Amino acid sequence: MSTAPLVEVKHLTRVFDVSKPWLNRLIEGEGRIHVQAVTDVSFTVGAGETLALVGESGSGKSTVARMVVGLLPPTSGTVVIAGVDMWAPAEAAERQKLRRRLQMIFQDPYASLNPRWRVDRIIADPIRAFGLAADRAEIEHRVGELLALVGLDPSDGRKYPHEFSGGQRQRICIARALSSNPEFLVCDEPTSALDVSVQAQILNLMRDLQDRMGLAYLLISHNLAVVRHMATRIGVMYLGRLVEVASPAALFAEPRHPYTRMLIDALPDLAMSGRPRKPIEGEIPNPISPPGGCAFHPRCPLAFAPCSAQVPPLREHGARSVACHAVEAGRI
Amino acid sequence: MTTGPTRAPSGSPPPPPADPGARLRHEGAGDYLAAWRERLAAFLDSDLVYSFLRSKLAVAAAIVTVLVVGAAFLAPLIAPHDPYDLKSLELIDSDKPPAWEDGGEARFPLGTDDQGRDILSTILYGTRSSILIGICSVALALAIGVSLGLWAGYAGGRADSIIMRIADVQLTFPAILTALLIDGVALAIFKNYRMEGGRFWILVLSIGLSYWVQYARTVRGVTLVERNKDYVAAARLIGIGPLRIMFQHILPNVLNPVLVIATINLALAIITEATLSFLGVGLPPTEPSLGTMIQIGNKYLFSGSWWMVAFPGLTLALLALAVNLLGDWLRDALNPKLR
Repeated sequence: MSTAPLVEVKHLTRVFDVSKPWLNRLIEGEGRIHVQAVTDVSFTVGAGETLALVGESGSGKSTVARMVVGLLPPTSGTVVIAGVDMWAPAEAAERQKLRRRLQMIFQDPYASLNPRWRVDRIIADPIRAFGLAADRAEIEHRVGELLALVGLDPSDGRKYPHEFSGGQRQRICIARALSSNPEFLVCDEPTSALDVSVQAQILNLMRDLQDRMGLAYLLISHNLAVVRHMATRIGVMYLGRLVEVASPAALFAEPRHPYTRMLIDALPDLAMSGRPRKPIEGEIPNPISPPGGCAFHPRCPLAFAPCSAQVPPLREHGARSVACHAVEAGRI
Repeated sequence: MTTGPTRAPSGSPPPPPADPGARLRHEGAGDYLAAWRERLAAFLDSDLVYSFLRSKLAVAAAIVTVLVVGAAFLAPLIAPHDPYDLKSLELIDSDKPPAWEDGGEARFPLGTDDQGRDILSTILYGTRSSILIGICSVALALAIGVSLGLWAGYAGGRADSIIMRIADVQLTFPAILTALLIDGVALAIFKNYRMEGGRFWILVLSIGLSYWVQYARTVRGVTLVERNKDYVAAARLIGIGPLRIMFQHILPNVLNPVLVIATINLALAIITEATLSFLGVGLPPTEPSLGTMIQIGNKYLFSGSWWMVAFPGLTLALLALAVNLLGDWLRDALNPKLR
């Protein structure tokens, strides 16, 4: 085996067509309208690692997640997982093998479980789809094991999803995701629909499972506290681009990109150190007509001439990567 | 529950003579029984049964429906005469009034028609035909409508547009017109299908094709909502194909409204069958349905033989009303907003 990372995402781009129907365009004389949801995003996730993507609503985090798991075809760019290109027109069998190795945990545990299926059938679905068990007894046994693994009772399998609370449902989702023995889990805001008290339980369960099974996570979140607790590395996204990638320690101690600074300055200060807390200024621009150059420059306190002219590339600065003209020019 | 107990790869060696799978299969059967018993218990304990027992109207409608349907299907056992046995008919018995009127005979409790057929027996047999046609045509409409609705809703885009435009066009033709058209086409293709028992299926086809649109629209609407839910994404993620997603994952979630429409449509289908038979494109006078009986009786109404029309008409009205009331109750019971 090579030492290539488990997941390698290169130059991922996704454009959505949000035009009106053809007849409307013809009569109203409007052209097509495109939204650049994700632009040129590249990252890697190693085995057992957690990469967290953070950003405001509309920054393209979830779109990245959907492209990585294979739910949404990218406009351009590649997703390579364990050496297999997710979107290459490969053999169906090869792709099915790849699908077993990655799974997803969804944001809303009320919509991600089929309300008409019993929990044991929901969890057994991936086992059946990949033919991982020889007979009914083995499936039953495996489902019981998985339920116990996520802290539920094996007899809960006979119930329907509506008989569970939000946190318990998210545990069921985790059990379903683990049922195909994946190596890589994409978690799209796994705790944002849960009570604060339950969030910690789910996050601890996820960490625990990672330690035991060597899982790699791609964690999508808008909650910096969650990300700090979980991540090996953090990627900050703004308007479809990665603007800074760093370890949590480095990112929180010394954020480089002005947008990252803005986010971290806005965090509530629980230590009451007396640090002034700055509210976030401005709003994320409309992705249909993004500002030219660096997309952040209209909100950036450090913007100067090249910012509105050129898109800054993501460059390595020591152990981190930043996409900012001001950082390159040594202004921060 | 749907995949078999074993998933042997193709080309695997034949099972050893001891067949260790036999024990498993046996246990599987026991599990099935237990599962069904559990399901029945859960059903009897459900809100639906509770709301049914509390609604006197629904219980009354159910009793009437069960009585009429039961009598219709037991017709060969309980009918005093066999109206299909043309040899047994005596023209001298024709036009007899009900037993309690002057000139009535106890042999013919509800009187006889112009051929000397016992009205009661003919109603029993005719109701059976009407209900069978109703059920078959509802099943046909359901199959077409649900499949096309799922397809349109799940695939979206062009398939959706084409299917729904076809549905719109279908909706502009009244059911009777569709049925007459199909009858005419069938007549042109199979010259004397009307004599060969093909009428039953032509009726089913006509009525089924007239009523599928409602199912398709309802199912499409619900599917549009369901397909964007994450449980569908979770199924796509593990490579489950569109057909299995539509029929195994989404279909159970769209069944409630379909069930309501099917119940109400059953009454509508029975009435449509009667209308078609009344217009002369339904079942032949030798094997009359309720509609055929009303058509025959209609000719003798002004000569005072009211019983030929009144009793089949009453049966039809009673059956349609009871099934409709059941459908109304079901609609309210399954609608969470009305609870």
